[in-house]
Amino acid sequence: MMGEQKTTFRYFTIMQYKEEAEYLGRMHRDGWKFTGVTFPGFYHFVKSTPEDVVYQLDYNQDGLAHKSEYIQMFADCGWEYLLDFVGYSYFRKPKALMQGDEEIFCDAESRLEMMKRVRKGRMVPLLIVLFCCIMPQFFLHTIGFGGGSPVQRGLSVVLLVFTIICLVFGIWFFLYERIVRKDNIFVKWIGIVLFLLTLSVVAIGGVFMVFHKDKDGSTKYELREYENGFSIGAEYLNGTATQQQELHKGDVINVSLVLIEGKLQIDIGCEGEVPVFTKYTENLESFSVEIEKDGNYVITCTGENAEGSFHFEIVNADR
Amino acid sequence: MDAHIKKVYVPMTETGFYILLCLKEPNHGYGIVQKVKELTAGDIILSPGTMYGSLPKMEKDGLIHFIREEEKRKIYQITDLGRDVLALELKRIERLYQNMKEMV
Repeated sequence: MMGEQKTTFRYFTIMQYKEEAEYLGRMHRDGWKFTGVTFPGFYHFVKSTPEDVVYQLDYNQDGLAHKSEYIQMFADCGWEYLLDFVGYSYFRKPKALMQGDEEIFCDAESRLEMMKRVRKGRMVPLLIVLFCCIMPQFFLHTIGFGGGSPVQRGLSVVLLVFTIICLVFGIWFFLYERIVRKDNIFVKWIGIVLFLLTLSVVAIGGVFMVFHKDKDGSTKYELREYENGFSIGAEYLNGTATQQQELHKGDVINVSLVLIEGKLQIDIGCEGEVPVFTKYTENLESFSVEIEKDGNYVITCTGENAEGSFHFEIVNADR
Repeated sequence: MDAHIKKVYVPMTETGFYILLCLKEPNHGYGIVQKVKELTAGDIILSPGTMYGSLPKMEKDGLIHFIREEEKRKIYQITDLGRDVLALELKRIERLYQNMKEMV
């Protein structure tokens, strides 16, 4: 029977294994024994007697591949194997069983080797995700499919969040790299690359905002005339689209509006006079307007980020 | 001996040196830990993370070779290349010792 349990949320980056181990040790000293961790950072504990226990994390793919002998090696040295989590293996050993201070690495070189394994095991997956996320973005933006659609906006938000995460990781990685390769000029290059990356993110963000703003104020639509009417296909309509039409008493205009996004107002009236018909909509709509007086009419569609297609079919009275 | 081996293993870390020295006789990881503890009167206690990082790497580099597995413990032994590295290390330490004696 398990005693009182507790779950905490803590986020440690892949380079913060030391902080993570110290946290688990602190919890154990406070009487909370570590029982497990679930993605992305829920730590589970069970109430126990406070004890000075050293927790350690190892990152060794060789070890994971040959698990039983790996665990045996640690067990022989008095380290209890707990679990694996995102490539890391967790161990603990009570301080009482140690001679002085003990860690799972006894020299700087082997600790460094572990840091190098972390780098190798983490960089490649990160890059893959980066390209899987950024490439579709570029595709969507350059080809311009579904401009301003909810899908594209959603993806843009994902890209933004992801870029921020990447940068945070990048900075962490840089700080980490400085420790791993103290006297290496390579580090300077990583710094430069990181700087350029930040710059390009700002540039892309800027271009995107300008592009976005531009779209808000501008208009892109196509007006097609037919024998008995016309239609407007709008990618985004801001302002007005007008069509002049000679109409007679008894003519009927059948209007059908398919409005995907934005707002639209329809005005029908003789030139220079108060419109005889006005309609404002944000939805799908279809209706008919009967003309009561001969004249030269102007049909005006005023849009606010309007996307959709608007059909106007004119049925002559004498036909 | 190729440049890579020389670069990585000469001079050796104390840990690497003791692992190689102990593997003149076939032994497993924990056996090495105990042997080193005995040789150094408890001053050096090799850690499992270090051992598990070093042994597969030394095996890959051809300094030691795997003999057999006994109760989930892999037993290794030094190779000719390993002996060469150890001999270089011996020369280096001898010189250190000699110079130290002359200067102090």
